[in-house]
Amino acid sequence: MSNNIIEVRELKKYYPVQGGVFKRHIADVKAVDGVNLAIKKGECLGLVGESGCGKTTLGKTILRLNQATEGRIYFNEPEEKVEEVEKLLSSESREERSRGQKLRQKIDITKFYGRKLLPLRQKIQIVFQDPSNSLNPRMLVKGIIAEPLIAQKLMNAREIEKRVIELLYTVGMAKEHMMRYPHEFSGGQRQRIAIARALATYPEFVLMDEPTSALDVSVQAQILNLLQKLQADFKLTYLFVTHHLLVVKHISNRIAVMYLGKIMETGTTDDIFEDTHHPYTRALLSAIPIPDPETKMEKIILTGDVPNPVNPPKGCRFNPRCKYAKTVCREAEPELEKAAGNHFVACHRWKEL
Amino acid sequence: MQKLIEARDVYTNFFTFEGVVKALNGVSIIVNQGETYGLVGESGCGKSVTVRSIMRIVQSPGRIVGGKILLFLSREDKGQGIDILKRSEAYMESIRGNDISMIFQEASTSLNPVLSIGYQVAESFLLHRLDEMLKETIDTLKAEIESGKLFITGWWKKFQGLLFKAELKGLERYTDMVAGIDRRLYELEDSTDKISIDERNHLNRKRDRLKKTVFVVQCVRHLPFIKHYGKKLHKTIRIHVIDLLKELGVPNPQNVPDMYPHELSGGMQQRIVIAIALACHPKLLIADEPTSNLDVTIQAQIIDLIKNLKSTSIASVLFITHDLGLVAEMCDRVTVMYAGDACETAAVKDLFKEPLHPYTKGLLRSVPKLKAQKELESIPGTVPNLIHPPSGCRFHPRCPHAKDICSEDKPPLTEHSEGHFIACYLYT
Ligand SMILES: Nc1ncnc2c1ncn2[C@@H]1O[C@H](COP(=O)(O)OP(=O)(O)OP(=O)(O)O)[C@@H](O)[C@H]1O
Ligand SMILES: Nc1ncnc2c1ncn2[C@@H]1O[C@H](COP(=O)(O)OP(=O)(O)O)[C@@H](O)[C@H]1O
Ligand code: SF4
Ligand code: SF4
Ligand SMILES: [Mg+2]
Ligand SMILES: [Mg+2]
Repeated sequence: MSNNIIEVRELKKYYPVQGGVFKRHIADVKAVDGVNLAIKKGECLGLVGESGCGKTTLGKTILRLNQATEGRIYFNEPEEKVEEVEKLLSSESREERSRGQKLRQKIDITKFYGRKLLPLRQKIQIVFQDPSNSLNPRMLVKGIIAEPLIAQKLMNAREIEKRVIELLYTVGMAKEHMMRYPHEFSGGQRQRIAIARALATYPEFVLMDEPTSALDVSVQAQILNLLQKLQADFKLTYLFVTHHLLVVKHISNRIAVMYLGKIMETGTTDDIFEDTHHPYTRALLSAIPIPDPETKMEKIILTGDVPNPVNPPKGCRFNPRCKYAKTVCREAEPELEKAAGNHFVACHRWKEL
Repeated sequence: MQKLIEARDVYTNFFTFEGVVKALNGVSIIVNQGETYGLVGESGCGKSVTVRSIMRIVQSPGRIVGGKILLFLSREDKGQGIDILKRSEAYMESIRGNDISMIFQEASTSLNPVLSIGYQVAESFLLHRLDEMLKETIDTLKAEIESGKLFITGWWKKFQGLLFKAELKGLERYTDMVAGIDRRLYELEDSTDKISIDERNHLNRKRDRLKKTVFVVQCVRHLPFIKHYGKKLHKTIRIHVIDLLKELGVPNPQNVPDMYPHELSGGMQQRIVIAIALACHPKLLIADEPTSNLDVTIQAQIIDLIKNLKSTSIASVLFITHDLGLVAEMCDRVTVMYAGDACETAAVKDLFKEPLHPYTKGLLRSVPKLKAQKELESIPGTVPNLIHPPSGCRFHPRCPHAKDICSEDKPPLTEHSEGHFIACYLYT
């Protein structure tokens, strides 16, 4: 029995940049550029990073809303099988590699199309950042929540209505709200509707793309509490994407820090916050404004901006802004290496720092 | 402590198609000289409307319908202050930019996309520090003429000399006249008989006219035979622009003036906006969520910048934010707003240590903290619609301690302990 619900291996997603008179393909935005990530069943994995670092792209690629450029994604596959395929794929002999490719077609969801995607769409759902954009303004709340159920063709009209009412109560709303339009609700209520829709098909995995970033603090607290309760009640697994580090600390068991399309550090929430290894994570943590005038943390002020993902820096992506950068950092790209237990760091110098 | 600006019981409404939005419900704040004052609250609670009212730039269909906004600048009576709601638009224009500068959340909307960065910063210098720049230009010109670097025949030299003198004199006279009008206006401010109101209107019009004349004079400067001198002026300003950019930590300040806004990142654009706001050495910088659209690491850069500037070149900062973390980090005193009410005002330390107003308490409990918590507390319900705001205390439908009186009358702002003001019936 596998305990990883999702395994991402060397995933890449490039968006083509077109230019010139003939709209020729001139370059790529390397939004996700070689990500390895495992999400355990029942956990809440927080994915943090600055805007444009590829968080949304990674999430959407896992959901198959984006076609991956390269790499593999396994959903609910036993660990041994995944390892076997990965071993074959990286093997020396051509024969083994082609055998690997054949096996991969069956379990790598980036290779699933059409009907084969249907069960996946039921088990994986998403909640977007801005509830006012993600809900169709011309549809009644009832229709919005029922949409995925109708698409799955699993229930008849009476059952669907019953399910919608049940979902509304689950997210703390009432039956009367069914016959209204999204604009009649506040931001927090709209986010509740979006959550209800995501839960409609009894998913196992929900991608939360900044679900509280557009909300006020007092409402954010309501939604975070609701999400935690739902996770416990329905044994859900979350990938929680956000740039708000205190939120991620509150809700996640494990955290992955992303920078310019790559994972820089992953570990349990305590690993990341208490035993930080990567210079970027440190800077990120020190930049959080702490709502307590008594604790004065020392700030690490990074110079410069996040570089352009069309042309990421050679070597370690963080080297132009890193004060510890050395020659080796400008030449070789560090891979994720194990620091302890479940704690991984991609930095040449983490041991010395 | 010296007061700098005071809003006293300000009411601002928006007269919209759906009804009257009662955005400010008697807001009072006092910003003292030399402090960083925070204004915090959830979206739509009236933070931006408050500062827009203070600057008198409320967008239509909004109007300030009650209250006073008093300005305590060194020029006039410090004790009583000048009620800027009674002054002309020309007066406000000289205040905005000269004494008070404002920066907004969206840096890109404050910058003109088709003008170079250098031009936009220089414009601000031209508008607000013209006499200083003129003097400097004349000095360098004089020095060049004397050292023989600049070949100028006798009549031309004389002519330019006369021109400079005339210009300086004109400026002096202009300042004197404006000051005279302001003095008279100030004397008339609180009188309500018909004659003085007429005179006030007359003076206000005169001030507006003067302002226009100055504008015409500035245009004349671009005539060809004065151009040589204009070029010098631009050079002087450019040096100042580059110095300012350097001071604000803009990388390669020599080249940035020739760039256009879209070539810069959000953080860099915000720096430029700050540069423009600081070009005139304001007494008060109003920053309306200057970092809300930026990443945390870039936010840290900008906050660090504002803090440094606070200790060197700006006297006071009015900082608007929805982030309690930034309040804790930046501000000396803070006002918490809810649905158009100023609920609580206190020193930041006191507010975080001992919040008193039920809304403040709820707000502080609902932010995620660094220490682990099992569950966040939240405030039930949602922010009310301000077309039909709740009666009495606007927080009463969500307040766990609401009493009968809370829905009847608006609670008065009372001083609970020194410098700690609360509008809540629990403390009266
Ligand atoms: N131009 C306008 N027309 C009508 N109503 C307006 C207008 N501008 C503001 N309001 C209303 O005034 C109230 C206060 O708005 P304000 O912009 O001051 O909020 P804020 O506290 O700055 O919020 P945010 O954190 O979202 O910037 C809101 O109810 C808003 O809907
Ligand atoms: N549809 C798209 N076409 C081209 N570029 C895109 C597209 N979506 C995202 N990008 C680019 O990919 C990078 C990562 O974007 P995104 O995943 O949205 O970041 P995040 O969610 O971390 O803010 C950014 O540079 C962004 O401009
Ligand atoms: S690899 Fe080098 S440049 Fe990259 S984070 Fe580590 S020390 Fe800094
Ligand atoms: S005045 Fe009444 S309703 Fe308002 S905050 Fe105080 S106790 Fe609550
Ligand atoms: Mg995103
Ligand atoms: Mg605002």
